[in-house]
Amino acid sequence: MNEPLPIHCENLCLSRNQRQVLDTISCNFRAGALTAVIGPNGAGKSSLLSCLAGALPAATGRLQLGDRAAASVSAAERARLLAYLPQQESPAWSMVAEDLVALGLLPWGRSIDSQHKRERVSRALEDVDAVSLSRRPVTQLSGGELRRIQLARLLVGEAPVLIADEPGAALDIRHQLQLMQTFRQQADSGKTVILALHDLPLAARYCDHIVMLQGGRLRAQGSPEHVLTPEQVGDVYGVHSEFRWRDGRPEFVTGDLV
Amino acid sequence: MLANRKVILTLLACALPLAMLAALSSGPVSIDIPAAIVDGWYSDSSDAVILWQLRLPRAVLAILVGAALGLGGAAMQGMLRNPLAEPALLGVSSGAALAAILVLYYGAVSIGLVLPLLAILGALLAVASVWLLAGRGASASRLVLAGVAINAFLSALMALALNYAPSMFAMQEIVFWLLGSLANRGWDQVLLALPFVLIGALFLFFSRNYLRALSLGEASASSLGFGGRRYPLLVLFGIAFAVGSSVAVAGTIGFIGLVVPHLMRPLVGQDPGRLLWASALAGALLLLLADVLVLNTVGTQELRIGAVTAFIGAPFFFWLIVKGRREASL
Amino acid sequence: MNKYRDILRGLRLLSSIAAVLLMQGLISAPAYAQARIASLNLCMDQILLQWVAPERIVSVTWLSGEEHYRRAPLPEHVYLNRAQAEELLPLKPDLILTGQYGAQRASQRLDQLGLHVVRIPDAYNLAQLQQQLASLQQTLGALPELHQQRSKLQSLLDQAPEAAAGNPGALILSANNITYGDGMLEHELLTRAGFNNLAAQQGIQQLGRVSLEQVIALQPQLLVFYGSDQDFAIAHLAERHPVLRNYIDTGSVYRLPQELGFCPALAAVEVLQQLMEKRKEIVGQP
Repeated sequence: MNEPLPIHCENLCLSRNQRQVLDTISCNFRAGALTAVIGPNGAGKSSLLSCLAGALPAATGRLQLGDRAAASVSAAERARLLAYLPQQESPAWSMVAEDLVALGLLPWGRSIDSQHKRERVSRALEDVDAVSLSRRPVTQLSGGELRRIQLARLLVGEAPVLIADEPGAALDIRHQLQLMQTFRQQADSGKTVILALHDLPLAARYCDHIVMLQGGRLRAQGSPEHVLTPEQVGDVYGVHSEFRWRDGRPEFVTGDLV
Repeated sequence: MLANRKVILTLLACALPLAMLAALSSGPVSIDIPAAIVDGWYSDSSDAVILWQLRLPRAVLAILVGAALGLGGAAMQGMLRNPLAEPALLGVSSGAALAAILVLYYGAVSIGLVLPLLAILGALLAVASVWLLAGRGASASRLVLAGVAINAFLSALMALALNYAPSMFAMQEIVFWLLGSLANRGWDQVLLALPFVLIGALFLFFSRNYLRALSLGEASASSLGFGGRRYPLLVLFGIAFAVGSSVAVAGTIGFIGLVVPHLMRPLVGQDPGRLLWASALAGALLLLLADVLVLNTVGTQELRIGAVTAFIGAPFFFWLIVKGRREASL
Repeated sequence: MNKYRDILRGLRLLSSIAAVLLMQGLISAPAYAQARIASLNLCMDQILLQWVAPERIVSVTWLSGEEHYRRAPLPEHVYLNRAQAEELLPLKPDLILTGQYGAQRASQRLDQLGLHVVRIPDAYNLAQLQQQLASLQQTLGALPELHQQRSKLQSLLDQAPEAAAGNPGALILSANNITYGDGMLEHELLTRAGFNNLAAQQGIQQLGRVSLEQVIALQPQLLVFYGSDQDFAIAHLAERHPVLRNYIDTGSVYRLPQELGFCPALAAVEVLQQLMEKRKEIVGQP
């Protein structure tokens, strides 16, 4: 179950409302690597992630989960292989935080006993530094607190592939860094981690691989150093930037508008 | 807190047989219940006949219909992710009632399977219309708007049916049908509704995890393995079977589906899956108690049970609005 | 002289004609025997349609055109009115029959306009029914069926009522669980036929409600339904309850015809006869 599961997509195309949101995208998401999907608003980041997670069906092209075609994987199995956190997820009912986290174990049904489930939930809550929130109703949480609970829900299944859309958007800096470290650890443990990110400095600092989208097309993919060049960032975002190494760590700084 | 919830749920479960006893001892004729029980099912003594053939089926039907309505309300709220969803409020019961009226007055009076099946079809069409019109995860206002629109349309059709009713008596009948009643029902009616309610409950049982996953939203639910049209259809059919068949035998009884899931939700930790069974239990209890109330105060013929539940439900709705305004969450 | 003789002869002729007419009037045909008749009342409609030659009927109410109420064939030339004076005026009927209630405004207006409107009293008990039949005969003349109905009713009523104490119990279970108590025509028919109306024994005056439980507890020997169970599903739901199957299977049921409710003149005699026969069956049983 916890075998590494790289994802490979080839010529992925997707239209929504007569608009081509993904246009012949071919890219790889390695197991054991933290991959960021970046691009300006409307570039197709969320669509690509939903597509990978199976939340958006009916795309043309080829999607491989490991050595299997995604289409041949049942929805239930896919849910056990891929955990997905959409950009916006608002709980409909005011359940307590740990109950929301436990929903992440739904794909396993009864195959995990309740004792084991509770352990998993508390471990996931620890991972996101939210143990103190466990008995709070989710509608009473702040945006950042809720986001952390949702991240715990993402992690609780210990799926080999983690896909999160803007996971750190509502978080303060400390929790953002904590979050990226968590994802880093997950990737280091052999998982395929795919994040849509707006925060390019964070992407540069923590990610192994960057997929850059522009207008639904793949603009570039590769290591941060290779993708986040001043030319490409300037072209795609219209912003001056610099990618440099400092004390052996990558650092990305933005400047003025082009 | 957790212990409290369990205690309350256990109390509710214990209250059901007590309410059943109360229902069995309520009626216009006073009977000797122990003797009637001793006499047994096949006895010809009037006490036994009253107990086994009149009061018991009526109480069982109250439980069945109440459970089906509670279940339908809980499922509908879960699927639409909205606490305002209610089968009667959103036209599901009207759809079933309209179909039933059309069968009763404009078709053959073929009692049997035609009536429940058509009522289920009517309920299905109504709930599917609301679902398609409002969309899943619709805001409260859009949902109520869609429900009101569907209900208005069905009311128009019902007005048309009233207008072209074959006689004045048929009009009265339609009105009575819309008020809902448990009077004069027997085992035949119980057996007519039971299989369909059970099928509906089974459908909803299989969709309980979908409803749970759906509390995170549609995208998350589909990433948790509950994508596609299969699950929504399962819920739609489940609601239609449960509510449609109850309407087919008891007319439209409103507000159970609204009030009960609301009251039960805190007791099950807001879990839409467990809410189904808690609502079925509480719905059964509420309708049975309402029936006992009617039997012991005004008598069964003068006041229809649907009017009673409306009197319970409407103030509850007011309370919801006031509470919503206070919390500014509506 | 001749003049006077002529006059006398003329007077004699006139008087003899008058006498003949008067005799005819007294014996059988009143002034409206050959007249064109219209009706503003459902019951009058049905009486006309059943007992009067079709060519004499000008108009009946629209209700008589409804499947639900139609008991006699409806001739094509008959105009279906909705009790509006304007509708009846152009038809120029010689006689307009109306009931005690309903169509008041139309009948008043027609009366003011010089048409001959006759109000026939409604019948809510046997005495009123006899009055109604009498006043019908007075107005319409001695129609054979009407006459027959009247004398049959009289002879049935002349029979001494059966012993009261040991009379079998009967209970009417009508649509929407309505039962008929003391003071209703249906009660009188039951009593006259030799039954104890259990509803009246329970102290029900006029109309009352009876639940299935009460039906079972009262254990009537004859269960009397009312009207057709074909038309309405919920109103007659009680009748189809399995708990009453025993009554139906053993034939301990009687169904009052629906027209007894809106026009007893048509049905009362037949019902009384049938109830008497039913009683014989029941009492005859060991």
